Amino acid sequence: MSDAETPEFKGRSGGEGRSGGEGRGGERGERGERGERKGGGKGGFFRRRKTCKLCSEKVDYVDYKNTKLLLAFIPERAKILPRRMFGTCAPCQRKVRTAILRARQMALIPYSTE
Amino acid sequence: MSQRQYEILFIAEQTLGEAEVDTLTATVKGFIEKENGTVEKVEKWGKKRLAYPIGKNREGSYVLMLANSPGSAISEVERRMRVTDGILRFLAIRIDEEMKKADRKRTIRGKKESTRRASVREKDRAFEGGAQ
Repeated sequence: MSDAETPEFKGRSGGEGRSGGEGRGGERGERGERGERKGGGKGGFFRRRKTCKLCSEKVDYVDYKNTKLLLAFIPERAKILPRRMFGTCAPCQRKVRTAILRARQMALIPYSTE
Repeated sequence: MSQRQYEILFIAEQTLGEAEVDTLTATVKGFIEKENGTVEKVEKWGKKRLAYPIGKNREGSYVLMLANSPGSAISEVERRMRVTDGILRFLAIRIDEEMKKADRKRTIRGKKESTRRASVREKDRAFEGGAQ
């Protein structure tokens, strides 16, 4: 939610810098207020920290034959999604990647879906 | 020569019957044994639908093998599999190191668990001792 709001906020202040219009002056107070609220909100903003699924579930060896596990990492278009989507740690993501590539080669999971 | 553990998975063409797949498996087994390797386990998955068509095959018979063989042998086994008719795809990967790593992790975790339990037990004992 905070991510979605930040660019909008930036864009607004950028517009103000360019025009510096008097008519927008009225808005400034409002914006300032909004900014404050935002600042306050950021500290209290609750975002669940994603943890590495593989580490917490104690998967020692990511097997390419375990399609059920691998399919969790390739939703919709069967593309490997970046780490930030799942919160996997770097070593685990690397293992997952290798396993997916192997499983794809052996036609266990698709390269892509239509 | 040091033996390494390999996992070999291959897909046989869909036109092959079960008996033919068996002979193919025996052939591959022969390749490995010829190079001073041993086959530990053969696992037949049967006919499975492929995730995407390979050539004209929409399904294929999967056969998984666990083999112990010297590292130098596997390239020859792979070469022979490549020229064998009826094999759509194959994958030979070395798994002994991975398994060792996994085992190590497991033992470390086991130790951690036991020490934690021991410390908890000690605390319990201390508590009980205090209560008496």
